[in-house]
Amino acid sequence: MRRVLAHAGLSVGALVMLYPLLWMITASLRPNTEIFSSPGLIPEHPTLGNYALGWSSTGTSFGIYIMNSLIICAAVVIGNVLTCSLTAYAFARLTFVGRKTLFAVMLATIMLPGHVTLIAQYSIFRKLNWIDTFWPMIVPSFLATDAFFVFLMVQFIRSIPVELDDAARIDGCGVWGIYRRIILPLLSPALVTTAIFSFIWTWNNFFSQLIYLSTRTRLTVPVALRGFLDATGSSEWGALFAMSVVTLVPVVVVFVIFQRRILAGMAHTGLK
Amino acid sequence: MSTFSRRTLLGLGAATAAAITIPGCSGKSGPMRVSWYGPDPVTKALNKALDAWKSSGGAEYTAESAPFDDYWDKLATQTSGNNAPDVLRMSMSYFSDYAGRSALKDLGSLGIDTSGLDKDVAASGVADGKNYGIGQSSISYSMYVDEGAIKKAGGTVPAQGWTWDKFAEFARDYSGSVQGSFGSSDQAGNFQLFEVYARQHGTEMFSDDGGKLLTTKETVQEWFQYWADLRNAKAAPPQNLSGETTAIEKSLIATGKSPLQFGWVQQVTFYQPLVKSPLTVLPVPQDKAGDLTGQFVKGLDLWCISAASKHPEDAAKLIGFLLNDEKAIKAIGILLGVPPSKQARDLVSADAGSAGARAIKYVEDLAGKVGPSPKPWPKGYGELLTGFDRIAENIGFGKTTPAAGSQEFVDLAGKTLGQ
Repeated sequence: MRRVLAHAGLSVGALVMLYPLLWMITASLRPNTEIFSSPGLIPEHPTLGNYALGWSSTGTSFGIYIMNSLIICAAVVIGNVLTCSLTAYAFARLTFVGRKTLFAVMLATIMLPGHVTLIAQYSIFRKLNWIDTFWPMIVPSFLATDAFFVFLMVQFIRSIPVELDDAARIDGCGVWGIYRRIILPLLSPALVTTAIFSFIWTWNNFFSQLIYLSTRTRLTVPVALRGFLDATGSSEWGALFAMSVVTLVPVVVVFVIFQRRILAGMAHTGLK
Repeated sequence: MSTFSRRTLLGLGAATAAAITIPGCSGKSGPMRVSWYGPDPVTKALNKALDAWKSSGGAEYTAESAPFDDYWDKLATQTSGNNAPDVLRMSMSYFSDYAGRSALKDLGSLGIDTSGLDKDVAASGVADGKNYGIGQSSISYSMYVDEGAIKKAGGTVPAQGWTWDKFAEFARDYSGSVQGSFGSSDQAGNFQLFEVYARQHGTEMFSDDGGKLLTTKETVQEWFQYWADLRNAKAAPPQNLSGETTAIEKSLIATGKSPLQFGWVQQVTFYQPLVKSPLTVLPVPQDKAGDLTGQFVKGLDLWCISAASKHPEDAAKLIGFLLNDEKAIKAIGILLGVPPSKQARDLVSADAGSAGARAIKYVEDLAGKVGPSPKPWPKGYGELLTGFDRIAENIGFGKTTPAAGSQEFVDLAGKTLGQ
């Protein structure tokens, strides 16, 4: 009896959480005029027209936006995984002058609001002639600028026993060898976590993509989605919802593929 | 409390950067860049007009566009990064911010042909004696009326105009006779409609130098009270409902819950597809019935050239092309507003039964009846625009009173203007 009640409660909770998503999916199947006028979930005149419209209505195929987003995301994932782990290894295991100060500076960058540095960054990228290219999104990730991931991995590496390093050193490993043969394999849960969050955050990162990209064919998914809405005119809600559903697909795919590893990663992070 | 928004921050940054920009120190100079805000149809229309520019031998260009809200974040960053587009669409709401910070070029010597334009529009971008922008459209505030719904309810809206009192009476009657509907949507937070109301009370809203609010606290309070009374009488919707119905698709007139909506005249073309019967375009209510001097015709979106432009001559030619060329005029239609010249209006008003044609006719009929057009909106207008709406919302939710709210607005204006 108690289990039945618990299940009923959980189901209701799940439904409440899922309702907005369900609503978005069914709204994407309604004609524009029906979206806000009829309540409920079941469309009266279901249509796939919004998908066709949204895919091509901007004059550039939505596939191009998805491709652009995927390119940027893939590069950022690779950059973050490679360089953040290297940086974290240095902070956690190597001794060098100014280590503590630099670590504090790095942590401070987490606390700095992005808008403070925006204009300075923009000026730098403009001097490099990188405006309206993917470089402003990609290159920073190869310089381990995402301090959150560095911090995550530093904490993780600190939990790996130093004795393993010592053993490797006796077996003839240098600094690089320890990184490659000891730290990197043991770090894999944190690497997976980094990869997944890099992907999702970059996939959804609207602001810098808005600022740095201008040419239609170089726009990314979040910027293109915003294009369906405009406060000064009529918004294409149907197309927006349809393309939002399409946009969810890569995120869901990434999640499904890595889901088990995320959970394993989380579990491992909690262990000492 | 005044809010220190992201946009303010960017704006301040823009000012600083403009002040310390070293002339001659710049990146590559590629082709001319053209940038605008607007929904998808605007982007398509302008791309078509630019195609016409290219095929008539115009200079190379690249085009950029963004939705209205995002456009200003991007433009502020670009401007402070000394990388503003050459030709840009400017809204009157932000015009003085940019013009006052020397981010726009004086167009006076660039020889753009504005001879065909309505006089008020051609002069819309004049600040401190310099012409920083040229109006894209002739627009005025208006009221869209769903006559079909009103006839069904047994009411009428006099075409020759009515007073605010008569309007309130109508709204109450309508709400009483049609179950579950409202005579009007709640316009308490509509700062642009309020400007008309304020001008009907004897003064311009802002002093000529843009440094002061001329409208009195009493007028502001009267306005807030007016809408509070309509809400209390259930002639206007409660605040929570208004909050849910701001998008055009969700608006009360689109869902058949109100027979009236207010907006800039060209926006009727966005509402019309959502309403079954034709929308009539009428002046907003008056202080004395039929006296339209509170309203004005003006260009509220402008074409500007950025001060840092490397292609001022080409940019000027392009602006002239967009304003005067027949193909460009036809491509743009009324998507940027009612066209700013007689020639253009004649070219695009071919489809007589359309909402667009009614919008054009409205603007032409107003000529000679409206009051003088005000100076460009002052620096900080954007802050007042959102502040006014926020205060109205607080009144609507009962968090403050019309008296306290109007004082808060006057204080906000005192702090924001003249800086």
